[in-house]
Amino acid sequence: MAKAIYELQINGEEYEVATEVNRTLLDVLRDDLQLTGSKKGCDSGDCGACTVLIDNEPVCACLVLPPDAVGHEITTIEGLADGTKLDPVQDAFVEHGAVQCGFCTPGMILAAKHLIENNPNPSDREIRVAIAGNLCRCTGYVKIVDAIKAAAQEMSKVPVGASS
Amino acid sequence: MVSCQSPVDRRVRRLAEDGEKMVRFEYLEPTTLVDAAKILTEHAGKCEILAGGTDLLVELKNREKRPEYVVNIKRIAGLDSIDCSKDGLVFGSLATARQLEHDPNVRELYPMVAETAGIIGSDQVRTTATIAGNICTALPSAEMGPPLLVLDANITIAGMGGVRTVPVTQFFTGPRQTVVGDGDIVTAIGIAAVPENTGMVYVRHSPRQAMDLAVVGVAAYLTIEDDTVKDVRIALGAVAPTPIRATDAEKSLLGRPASLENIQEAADLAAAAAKPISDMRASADYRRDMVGVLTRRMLLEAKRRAGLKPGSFPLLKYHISSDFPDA
Repeated sequence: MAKAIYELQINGEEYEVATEVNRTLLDVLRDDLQLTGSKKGCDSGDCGACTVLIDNEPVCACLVLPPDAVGHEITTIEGLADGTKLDPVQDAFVEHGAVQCGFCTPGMILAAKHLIENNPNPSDREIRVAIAGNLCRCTGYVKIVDAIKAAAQEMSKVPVGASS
Repeated sequence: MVSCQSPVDRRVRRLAEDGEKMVRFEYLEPTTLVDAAKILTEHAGKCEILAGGTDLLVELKNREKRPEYVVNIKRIAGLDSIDCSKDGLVFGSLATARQLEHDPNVRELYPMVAETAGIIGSDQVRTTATIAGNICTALPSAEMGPPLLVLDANITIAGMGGVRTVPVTQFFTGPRQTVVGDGDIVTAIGIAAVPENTGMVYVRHSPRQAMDLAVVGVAAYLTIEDDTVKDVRIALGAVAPTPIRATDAEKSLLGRPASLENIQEAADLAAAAAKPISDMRASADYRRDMVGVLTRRMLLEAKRRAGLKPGSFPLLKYHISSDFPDA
C-alpha cells in the first residue's frame, strides 16, 4: 500500500512521517518515532493506555488515523518532563505510590492533566470520572486518585517567589 | 468504542489475516457535502464514513468492516455547529459528545441530552465521538437512541438526490441498521422547543458505571400541567432490535394524574413492550424486570424535573439506577 508524508507536531517539535494511511497514530508514535511512552493495551479505545492529548484534549491514539493527527498539537507523556524536572502530576504519582507496573501511568497522567487544567479543585468523584477511560490492573486506583488530588492541590498554590 | 463482540472474537479475526493491523482502503477527504455525496454514490456500498472514528477504527481493525474507501467528512465546513435556544436545538452531525455535554444552552434547556452525551464512553472517546455516529452505528443499546426518541428528534440526511428529514422513530430499522443509504450522509439532528413544565431524563443500567453498554436504557419525558400529564414519552434501549418508544405505556398515562399508581401502571406496560434477548450481559427476564423498575424511576424523576425551573438543578454524571428513588 502506498505511503504518504504527514507532518506532525508532537511535544512542540515537528516530525515528518512516511506511512500508509491504514495505521493508527499510536503505531506511528511507537514504531516510527520510538515514542514508546504511549502504550498499546486493548487497541480499541477501551483501556486508555494509549491516551495522548490532541489540542489539550484527551484522545485514544489507537483510534486516530495519521491524516487526522496533522495540523494539531499532540502531547505525549514524553512531552511533560523538562529534562529531569518532572511535571507536578508525574511527581505526585511517584510521591504517592500511584505507579506499580507503570503501564497505565502515561495515560492516567495525561487524563489527569486535562482534568486539573479544566477543574483546578476536583472532588474524588470528579477525578474518578475523569479517569473512567483509563484501566489499571495493579493499583486498585486509590493511590492514583490520591496522587491526582495532591497534584491539583499543589498546582493551585501560588508559585514561590510570586510578587504580590 | 467497542461493540458487543467478545475479546476472543476480535483477537482471532485479527490474527487470521496477513499481520496487517487494519484492512486496506483508499482514503478520501472531501471538503464539501456535494463532493462527499458524489463519492458515496459513485462507490455505493464500498464506502464507510469516518467522523469520530471511535466505532469505525475498531471495526476496521477487527475486519468487521472492509470498505474500499474511507471517506473522512471532518473537512466539510459547517457540520459541527450547535444551535440551542428556546426555539429548539439543532446540531450538526460532527458535533461531538464533549461539545453537546458542555454547551451551556443544551445543559439548561435539554439537560437529558447533555447528560447522555456525557456518559458515552470516556473523556477520551467523547473528544472525538459524534452523536450522529452513535445513532448511525445503531446498536440496540445506542445511548442517544432513547433520548432522541422521547424528544421526537428529526434526522436530516443528504444525498445526491437532495436533502430529506426522517423522524427518529423511523430512523432505526434493525440492529446496526438505519435508513441511511449507501449514498447518504447524516448532516444534522433537530429537536423541537420544549414546553414549560417539562422534565426529561435518561438512565443507562449497566454492570459498570462507565465504559459499558446499556443492559437496559430508559428515557422519560413528561409535561405536567394542573397535576395532569399533558405529554408523555417513554423510550427503551437494549431491549429490542432497535431503541423503541413504549407507546402503550404512554397512552396509559396521557391525560391522567402523574400519581405513583398511574406511573406504576405505565411502568408495567413498558416492561410488557420490551422484547429483550438473553445474552452474555443479562437474561431477557432480568432486562424485562429492570424496564419496569427503571421506567417507574425515570417517570418519577421526569415528574420532579417538570416542577423545577430549567437550569435550576445539577446535572447528573455517570449516574446509576440506584441514584433514583422508587417513590
